[in-house]
Amino acid sequence: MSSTTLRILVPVKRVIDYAVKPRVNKSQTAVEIAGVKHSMNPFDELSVEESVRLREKHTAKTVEDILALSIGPPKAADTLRTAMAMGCDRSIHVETAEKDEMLEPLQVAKILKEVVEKEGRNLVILGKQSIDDDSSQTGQMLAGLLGWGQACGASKVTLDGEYLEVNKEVDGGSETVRGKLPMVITTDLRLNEPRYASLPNIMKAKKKKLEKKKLEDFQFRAENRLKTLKVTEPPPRQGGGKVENVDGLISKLKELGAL
Amino acid sequence: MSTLRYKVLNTYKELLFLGKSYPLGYTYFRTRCHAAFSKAAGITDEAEIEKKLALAEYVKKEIEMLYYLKKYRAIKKRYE
Repeated sequence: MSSTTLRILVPVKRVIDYAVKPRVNKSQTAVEIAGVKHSMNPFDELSVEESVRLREKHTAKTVEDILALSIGPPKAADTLRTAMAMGCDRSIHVETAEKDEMLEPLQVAKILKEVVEKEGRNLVILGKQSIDDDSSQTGQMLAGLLGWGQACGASKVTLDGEYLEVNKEVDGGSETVRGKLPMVITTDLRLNEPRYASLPNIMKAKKKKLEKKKLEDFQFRAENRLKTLKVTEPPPRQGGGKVENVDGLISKLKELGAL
Repeated sequence: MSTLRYKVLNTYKELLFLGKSYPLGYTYFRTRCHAAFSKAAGITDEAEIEKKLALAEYVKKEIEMLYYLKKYRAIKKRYE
């Protein structure tokens, strides 16, 4: 076993809770977020869990440091506390104003790149997508910007010296890739079972370091390239009809052109 | 004795914390959890109390599993 040490970055996002049904606001410009329950993006929970498991599976020396990062409104600090309760060592909160538009994946990737370089990270584990905008781009863009290898949609991660072997979920099967550190990994649903951030652990996490930063602390300039024109809800489902007998069924099918 | 008392109180707090996102609502969970604890309030035998604590620990694990499965299934349904 070589003496490679991992310095992991885990970006997490605060999103509307998966169990909440999102509502479009009156002006049809966005989804209503005021007074709605938020929690950590489920795919990010997987990446936090995976980095903690990497530490548990190997020696504490192998994983030197797990850094969580979140870009978002002041309340994103709660999400970071959850990440630290699950086992991250410290975190950085890049604070944006509540009313600000959500940053686009490219901007997030640029911020992450700066953090990776400044904090000397050699492994980034991200959720493959967030359940609010479902872009599924940040990990790929970050790998591109850094010029690192990437393994997206991981269902199994094995560390072997300074190499990582990753099973990826692809359409209709799985693909195994092997790459040298540094690397970017995005997680898929079957990677692991995230632990629950229990009350005592949340209390303990309050002692861990949470660094606050602003968007101005980074070199890039935040400018969204896309403008949301309109947000609408999907049309309500049409109810099915009942038929009296077989003849009714056949005539109905003929009517629909299925026979 | 006092350490056991402390343990029981902590377990109760942790259970209430877990119950906050219970699918049937916090009130549903809280009343039932409270009833279970007050029913066992009269127990004085230490071994009995330990047994109850072990049960509470089991219930905690079950609830965590319930949350995990609920989330897993919801996300799986949405993305596959």
